[in-house]
Amino acid sequence: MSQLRKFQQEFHTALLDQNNVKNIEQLIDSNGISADKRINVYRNNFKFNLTEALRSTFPVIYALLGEQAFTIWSYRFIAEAPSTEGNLHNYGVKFPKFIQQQPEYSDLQLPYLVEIGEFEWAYHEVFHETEIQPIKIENLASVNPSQYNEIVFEIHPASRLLKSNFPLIKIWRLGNGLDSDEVDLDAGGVSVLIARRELTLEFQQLSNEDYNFLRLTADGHTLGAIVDTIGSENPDFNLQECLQRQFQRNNFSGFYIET
Amino acid sequence: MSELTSALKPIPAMAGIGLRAEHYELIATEKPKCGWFEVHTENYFGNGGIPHHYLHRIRKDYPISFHGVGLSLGSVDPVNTKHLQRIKQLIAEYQPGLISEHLSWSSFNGVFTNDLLPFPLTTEFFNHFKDRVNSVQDFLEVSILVENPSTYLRFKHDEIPETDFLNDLAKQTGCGLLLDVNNVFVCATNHDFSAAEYIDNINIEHVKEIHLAGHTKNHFENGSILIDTHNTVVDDLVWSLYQCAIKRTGQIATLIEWDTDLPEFEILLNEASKAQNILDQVNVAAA
Repeated sequence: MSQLRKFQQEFHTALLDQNNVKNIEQLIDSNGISADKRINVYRNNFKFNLTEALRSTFPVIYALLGEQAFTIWSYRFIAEAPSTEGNLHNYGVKFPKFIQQQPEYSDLQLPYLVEIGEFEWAYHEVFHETEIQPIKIENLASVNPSQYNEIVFEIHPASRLLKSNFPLIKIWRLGNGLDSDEVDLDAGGVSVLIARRELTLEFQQLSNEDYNFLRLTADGHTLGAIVDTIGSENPDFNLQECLQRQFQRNNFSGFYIET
Repeated sequence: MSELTSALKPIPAMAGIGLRAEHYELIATEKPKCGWFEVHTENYFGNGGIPHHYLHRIRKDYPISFHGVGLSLGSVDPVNTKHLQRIKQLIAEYQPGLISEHLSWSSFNGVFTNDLLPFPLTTEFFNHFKDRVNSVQDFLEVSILVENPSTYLRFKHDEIPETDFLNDLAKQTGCGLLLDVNNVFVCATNHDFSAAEYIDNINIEHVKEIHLAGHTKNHFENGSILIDTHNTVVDDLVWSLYQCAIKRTGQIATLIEWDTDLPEFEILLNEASKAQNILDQVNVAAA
C-alpha cells in the first residue's frame, strides 16, 4: 500500500470513528491545539454538510423532530448509510426507512413520519426531474382504433405516485408553514400524484380508479389490460373520462403500441 | 487543451457572486448589475427542474462559471467517470467561462465525506494530484482551475511549500489557479505564516480567478482556529490582502462566496460592489 493510500485510509477512519485516531494523530503537527480537536473540525464539517443535505430534502421531518433529535438521527444515518457520491442529490433515499428502525421511533407518537419522509423524497425527485413536453390527446389521432387496447402510456417523468395511510398533503403543508390548521390524523390517507409541469409543483389527489389506472400504467400495462383489471373490480369505470383527466393534467409524456 | 476563454461569454475581470437558489427569481427577473455568477456544478446534476430552468435564464444574461465541490480530485480512489461525464454534459449545455475544483480530497474506498479534506504536501501526493488533474483535463477537454485550500491542521511529513505545489502543478499540467484570498488568510492565521508572503510566492501568471468569503473563529482552550464558513461578510483584513493580491494580478474575475446563513441578495451585491470598487482603482504593478 502506498504511503498516500495509507494516509487517506487512516485519516478517513479517524473522521468516521473518533475512537480510532491514534495512527493519524502522530502525523499531525498540533501547534498548540490537540490533533484530535483539529480532526474534530473536519468531523464536524462533514457531518454538518450531510445533515444540511438531509434537512434540505426532509424539511417536514426536521420540523416535526426539532433540530436536536433530527441531528442525532442524521448522525446515526451518516454512520450507517454513508454518502457514496460527490453529488448529494441522491443522498437520503433510505432515510425514511432508517427512521422507522430507530429505537425511539415508537415513543414519538408520530406514526406518519415514515410516510411523510417518503413523500418528501418523492417531492425532491420530482423537483429535479427531466424537462419533457407532455403529449396531447390529439397525438392519439394517428393510432388505428383496432390498436387502442395495445396502447401503453408513459407517465411524465416528473411524477411520483404515492398512497398513504395518513393525510400527507395536509401534514406536508403544515410542516412547511403553508397551513396552520390542525390536521385530523383520523381523516385517512390519500392517493396522490406529485407532479411538476414546467415550474409548477402540484399534488393531484386521485380517486381509487385514477390511482389504479396510473399505477398499472406506470408498471407498463396496456390500456386493454388496465381496463380489464379495473373493470373487473368496478364495472362503472369510465375509461374515456379517466383518460381525459390524465391529458388535462399533462400526465403522459408519450405512448407506444405493444406488438 | 483548449482554454475556456473561447466560451461564448468568458468571465470578465469584474466582481461576481455565487448563485444560490434563494436568489434565482430576483436575478432572473430584475437582472441586477453584476459581472457574472458562479454555480456549484453539483447543484445542477439533476436532469431538469427548477434549478436548470433558472440557470438557463440567468445564463442568457450573464457569464457563468462552474465551481466543483464533489470530484474528490486528490483521492486515491479511481476518478468517478460518471461524475466527470455529467460535468462534461453541463459544460456543453452552459458553456461556462471557467471551471474550477479544489486542491483536496473527499473520499476513500467509495465513501464520501462531502467535505474538503487536508493532505500531506509530499512529492507522492504532488505526483498523484498532477496525474489526476491531467486525466480530468483530458476527459473534459478543457483546462481547469485548482483552488488553494483552507486547512485546520498540518502534517509533520510535509515536504513542499504549498505555493510551490500550486505553481508546479500549474506549470506541469497547464491548469490555472483559483486564488482564494480568504483561504490564504485562514491558513496563515491557523498555521502562523505570512499571508502576504504566500501571495507573493504564487506565480501570478497562473491565477485566473479570485475568491473572497467570510470566515468564523472557533475557540479552544489553547488557542483558536479560523474556519472557512462562507456565512458572513468578508473580513477587513481579507479585503486588505485582496488589495495586495490584485496589485499583482491586475483586474481579475473576483467572486463573493456565501453558502450558509444566506442573507438578502442586497448584502451580496454590496460585497460585490466593494470588490468592484477595489478592482476599478487598481493600478497594475509589474508582476
